[in-house]
Amino acid sequence: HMAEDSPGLLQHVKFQSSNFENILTWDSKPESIPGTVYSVDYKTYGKPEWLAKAGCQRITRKSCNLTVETGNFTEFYYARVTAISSEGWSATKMTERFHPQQHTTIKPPDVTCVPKVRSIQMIVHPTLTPMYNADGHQLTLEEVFQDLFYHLELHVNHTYQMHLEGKQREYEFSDLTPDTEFLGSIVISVPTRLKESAPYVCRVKTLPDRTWT
Amino acid sequence: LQTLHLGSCVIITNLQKIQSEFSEIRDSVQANDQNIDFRVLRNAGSLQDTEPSDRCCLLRHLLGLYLDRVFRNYQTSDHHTLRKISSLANSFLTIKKDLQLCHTYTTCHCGEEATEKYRQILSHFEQLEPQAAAVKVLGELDILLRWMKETE
Repeated sequence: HMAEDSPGLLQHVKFQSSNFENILTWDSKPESIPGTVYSVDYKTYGKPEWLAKAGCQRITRKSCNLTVETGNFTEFYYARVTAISSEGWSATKMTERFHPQQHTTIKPPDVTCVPKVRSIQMIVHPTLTPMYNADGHQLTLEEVFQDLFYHLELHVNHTYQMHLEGKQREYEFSDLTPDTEFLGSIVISVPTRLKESAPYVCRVKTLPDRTWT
Repeated sequence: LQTLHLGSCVIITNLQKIQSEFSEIRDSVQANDQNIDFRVLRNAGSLQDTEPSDRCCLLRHLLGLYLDRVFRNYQTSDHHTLRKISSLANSFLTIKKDLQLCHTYTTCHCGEEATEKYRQILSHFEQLEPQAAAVKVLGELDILLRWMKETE
């Protein structure tokens, strides 16, 4: 029984990328077709060969981690999925051209908010990517995106916020009222790529002032 | 605004605007490129790996390729795409005029490296039929933008 194309077998083949963790996902309609197996290939744009992704051949799940295989953030990639049902139906679909530096979304930063009596310190921790340079050094988001910077807000009350911005990792909001709760919000921004992360939010209370007690 | 350092020719341009305009048509243009085994703008020919003194000349040639044989030859009935291509062409024309100024003041020297790299790019381009070449190289505009960005 020759395999014939069946569109419902395979849909929405695409990369989902977050902080350069590049996952290939797909769907089928109806949701699950028992006995259907999927095989994944990938290639670099401009190169002739498709390469089979080990670990994603004849699988039944609908995702495949291609982070390592698409690990050069300056390159352009394609991936494709072939689905074969138990009745011999088959379908093959390819992604759009995938460019990690363009397509990845940025996760919220990891931040430590440190309350003091009249100030709040915010320490942004570097975000490591799953990529390494030629010397084996693991790259941070800051190293991949040269124009990356942090934007910090401290909500004092409904109408008043304080703002700080920069490329450094340590910030301090000062001249605050002791023993008062504040809401901090920190985002990563990459202007040339028109990217901005969701905010990391911390609720923190300044320490009581015990100097005159 | 970004400052591009092309040897002793230094120009200021708005790459972010160009990137944003291109991103609106990128997926549809790239989807029309049927030959994904072949690439015209290859890493070996990149601006940032070119001697600084030759970068201006190479970029001037590349912009000329886009203006004369890509934007002009790209055929589509989609008005949004046509508007974006027109806007991209205007941006490239502005940059090319700045490079022309550098050329006038002899800071846009065409050395052997720039000449050879452009010859290779052109030979890749001319291996394809004109319309297919226009589609492919328009789809590779994000490669050229990254080359330009890396001369900042």
